[in-house]
Amino acid sequence: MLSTVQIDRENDLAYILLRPELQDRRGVVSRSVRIAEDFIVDLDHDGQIVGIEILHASSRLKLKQAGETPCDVVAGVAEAAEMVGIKKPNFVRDYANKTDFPAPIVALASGRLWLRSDIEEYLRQRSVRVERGRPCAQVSTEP
Amino acid sequence: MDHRPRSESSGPASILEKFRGDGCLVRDGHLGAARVAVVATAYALDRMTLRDIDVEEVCQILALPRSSHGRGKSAGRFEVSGTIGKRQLRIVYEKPARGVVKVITA
Repeated sequence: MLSTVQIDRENDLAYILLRPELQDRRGVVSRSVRIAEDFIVDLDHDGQIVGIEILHASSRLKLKQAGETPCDVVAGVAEAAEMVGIKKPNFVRDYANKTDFPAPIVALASGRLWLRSDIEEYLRQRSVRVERGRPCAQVSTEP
Repeated sequence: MDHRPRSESSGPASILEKFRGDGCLVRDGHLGAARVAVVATAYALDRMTLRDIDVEEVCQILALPRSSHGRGKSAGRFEVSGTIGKRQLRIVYEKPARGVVKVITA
C-alpha cells in the first residue's frame, strides 16, 4: 500500500503519499485536516486518506538516519512488533493499546501506523527506566 | 511611471534566478500590501497540485492584511490562513530576502 515519501530537506518537510496511483493528480485531496501541530492528513472526497504531511520533519522523523522510503519512516503493527521484539498479537495486547505507548499518526481500516522514530524513542526511554530500576549489585543470600 | 513590480525592477535577481534553477515557480505578488516576488518550491507545487490550489489563490491569501499573518513554530517561518470560496487555505512561507516570499507548503 505505501509507496512514496517526498522529503524537502531544505525546508524540513515530508509528505507520505499512501496511494501512489494518485501522484500528480490534481485535486484528489478534498480536505486537509491538521491532526497535530506538525501533522496534516489529506483526505479524498470519500474521506479516505491520500497522504500525510509532516512539518519539522527532521525532528519528527530523524531524517538524518532515515532513508527516503516509507518503511524507513513509518511502521505498521507487524513492523512495530518486530522493533519491540515480540509477536504481533502480543504487541497489540502489551504495547499498542497501552496509554504510554506512542500514539499512531493515523489509524486506517487496515491498521495503525506509527512513526518509527516515536517507537525508537519509546524503546530508548523504556530501556533507561529498566536500567534505573535494576539493582546495582547482586546480594548473595547464601551464608 | 514604472508599473513593474518591485521584485522585477529592483529585487534580488540572483536569488530568484537560483530558485528558478531549483525548479521553483516565481511570480509577482503581494505580502499584505507590499509588492514581493512569490516563490513556490517544487515541494509546495506538488502539494498544491494534489490539493487543487493554484498560485493565484496562494497569492490572494498572501495578500491578506499583515495582521492575518502569524509566526510559525520555527524561527523565520510564517503562516497565514484565509478562505477562498468555501475552502480554508493555509500557507506556510519564509522570507529568504527582502522582497521575496518563499511558499514552502500550502
